[in-house]
Amino acid sequence: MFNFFDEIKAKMGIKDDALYDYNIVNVSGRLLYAEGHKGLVVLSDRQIVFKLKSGQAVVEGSGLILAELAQNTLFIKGKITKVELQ
Amino acid sequence: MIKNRTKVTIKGFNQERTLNQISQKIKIYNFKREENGISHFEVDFKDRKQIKNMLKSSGIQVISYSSYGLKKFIKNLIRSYGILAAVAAILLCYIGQYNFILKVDVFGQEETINRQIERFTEESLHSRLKSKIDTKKLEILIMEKFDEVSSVSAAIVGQSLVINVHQVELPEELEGEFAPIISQYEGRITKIHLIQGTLAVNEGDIVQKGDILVYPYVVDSQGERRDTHAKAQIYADIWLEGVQTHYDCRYKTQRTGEKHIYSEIFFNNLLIFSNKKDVNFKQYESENSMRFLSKNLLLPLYIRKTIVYEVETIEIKSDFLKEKTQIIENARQKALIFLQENEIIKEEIITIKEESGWHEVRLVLTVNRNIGG
Repeated sequence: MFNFFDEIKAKMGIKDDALYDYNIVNVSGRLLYAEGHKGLVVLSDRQIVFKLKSGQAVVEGSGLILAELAQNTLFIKGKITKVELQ
Repeated sequence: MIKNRTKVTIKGFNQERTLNQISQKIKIYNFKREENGISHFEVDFKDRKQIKNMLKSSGIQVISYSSYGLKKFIKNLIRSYGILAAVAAILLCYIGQYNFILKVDVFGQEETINRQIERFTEESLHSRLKSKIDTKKLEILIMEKFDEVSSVSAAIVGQSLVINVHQVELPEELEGEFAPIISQYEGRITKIHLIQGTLAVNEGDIVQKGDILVYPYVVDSQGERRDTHAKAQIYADIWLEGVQTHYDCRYKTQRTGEKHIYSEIFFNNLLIFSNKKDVNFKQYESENSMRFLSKNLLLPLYIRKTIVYEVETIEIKSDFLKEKTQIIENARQKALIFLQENEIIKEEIITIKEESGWHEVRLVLTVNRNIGG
């Protein structure tokens, strides 16, 4: 996991535990990094849905590839047009 | 090539659940879903056995496994027993034969001596094994066997036995044949300075080119003849000649200015086009040039351009007396061609021969020169 998320939260003085459930980083709509996922729900080249501790995240776009999937982190590559938290 | 991965192709439903299970223990890369429910993904090469077991127990259909990367290449190589055996055999052969001398190289001055030493060395070597060759002993053997060798060094370089020899330098009297001093020019001998040898001429003698001046031997007090190198400085007056002929009446051919140009095109020496016209020059001379028309001589097609010049012969009359000075100067220039640097002209003689219709001027320069030695 990247550590700078904790540093950001610490700097902002936020201690809410819910903020430590997951982190999602969208890099220029081409790469999405997520940590704290709880498993995949839907996997296709237009939509990838993965579970979070409270809810799920929906990533939509085109040409989506699950570049890396580990126990707690994942990378999605492709043209990302929408990231929605449900 | 740097990444070592195993690519897995699967087919079936609910692949997400399988992926979730796998990702708990193994990292998955580049999951891509294709048509007809077929998907493929990659795992690290080291996880290939584990992924196989996990997929087996998951119940999902596995279509194929394929590995790539350096580790895979090395693994295949290790399993190729034939290749390993061949490599081992080659290495053994190389290591084995490296301990032996394959050739003997002799470097010295004369080829014939070198070959003799090479043959002698080959016969003297009882073994070709490097560890059994004593180079010091070999050097001593060569020195004892060959008187012409003044020093020798032997060394094993790679798989060659390299021998360097230096030959004894004999004084000139002990080697080769002796040659006499021969006159390089025709002349009258003016001065002799004999260093070694026996004189064949005296001062005042007239010699021709090629005459022997000094013999390569001396006769000692007992009347014995002993060969020696002929050495001497012999100076003689030699004659440098220049001749110029003058004709009272001569003919000269010159162009009138009229010309005719035409071209001809040939295909493989067959004339296919020409714009030549008949010309009514009484006398003419022609020049032609040729050029190929196809690039890289693909076709034997060439064009020949000819220029025909009209010429005329004119009679030129000249008076010898009027041009005498110039004629003599021309003759002098011809004689001066043979003059060497820093030579002094002792005498200049001009002879004019007159015949019917022509004159010949002969100019002779006398110089003193070393004609031998």
